[in-house]
Amino acid sequence: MSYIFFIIFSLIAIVSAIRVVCTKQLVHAILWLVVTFLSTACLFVMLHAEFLAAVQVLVYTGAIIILYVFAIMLTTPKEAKTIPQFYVRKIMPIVLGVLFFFQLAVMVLTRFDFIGKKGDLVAMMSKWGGNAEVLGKFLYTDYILPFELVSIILLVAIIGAVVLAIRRSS
Amino acid sequence: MVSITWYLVVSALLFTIGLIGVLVKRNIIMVFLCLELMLNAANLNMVAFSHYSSNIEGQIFTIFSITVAAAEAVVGLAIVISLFRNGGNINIDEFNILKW
Repeated sequence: MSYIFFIIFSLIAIVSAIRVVCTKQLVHAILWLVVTFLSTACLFVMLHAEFLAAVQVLVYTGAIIILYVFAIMLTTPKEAKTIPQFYVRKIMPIVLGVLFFFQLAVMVLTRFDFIGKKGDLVAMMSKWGGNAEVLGKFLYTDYILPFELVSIILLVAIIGAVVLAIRRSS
Repeated sequence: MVSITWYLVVSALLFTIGLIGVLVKRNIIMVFLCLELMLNAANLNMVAFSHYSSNIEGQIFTIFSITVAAAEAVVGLAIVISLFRNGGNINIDEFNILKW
C-alpha cells in the first residue's frame, strides 16, 4: 500500500518538476512548482514528518510562491539581445546533468542500503505526543543557539530586502 | 515499507532536474525556481535519512534549511527587482554591470 502511494507522489513530483524546467511561461512554471512542493509534502507525511509537511505547505507553497508571483508581476522580461550557442546552452548542461544523476544513482544504490532497518522514531514520537512535540523539545533545548541564529538570519533577510528593493528618490 | 534507496533516487532525480534547469534557463526568476527545486530535493533527502536512521535531527535541520531557503528567496528576488529597475532586463546572460 505504501509502495503505491510512494510511486504516485514521486511520479507527480518528478513529472511536474520536468514541467517546471520545460515550460516557457513563468507563471505556469510556478504553478507546476506548487504541484512539486505539495507532492513532496505528501512524501514528508509518508516519512512521518507531519510538521514538516505543514511547514512545507505554509512556507513554500504559501509564502515563497506568492513572493515569486509578485516578482514576476514587477518584472517584465525583454527579448534577449544575444542568442547563445545551442550546444553550449542546452546540450552541455543536459549531458552534464545526466552524468551527475548517474553518479548520484550509483552512490545511492551501492552505499546506502545498510540503513534499511526500521527505527524507533515513531515510538519516540508517540511517547512524546507527536512529531511537533518532539521537534519543539529538541528545537528549544539542544538546538536553541541555531534557532536564535536563524531568527537573526530572517531579520537580516528582511532588512536586506527592504534596502535592496527600496525606490530611491534621486 | 519503501526502502530508503527509492527516496534517495527520487531526491536525486529532482535535484538533477533542478540542476539542469539552473544551467539551461536564462531568465533569472526561472533560475531561482529551479534553485528552490534543488533545495526541496535536499530537504527530502534529509527527511528520508531522519526517518530511516530513526534520528529526529534531520527534520530539525530541514526546518533550518527551509528558513534559509525563504531568506535566500527574499534577498534574491529583491536583487532581481533592483536589477530590473536599474537595467531593465532580467536575462542572466546580459548581467555584466560589474565590469564597469
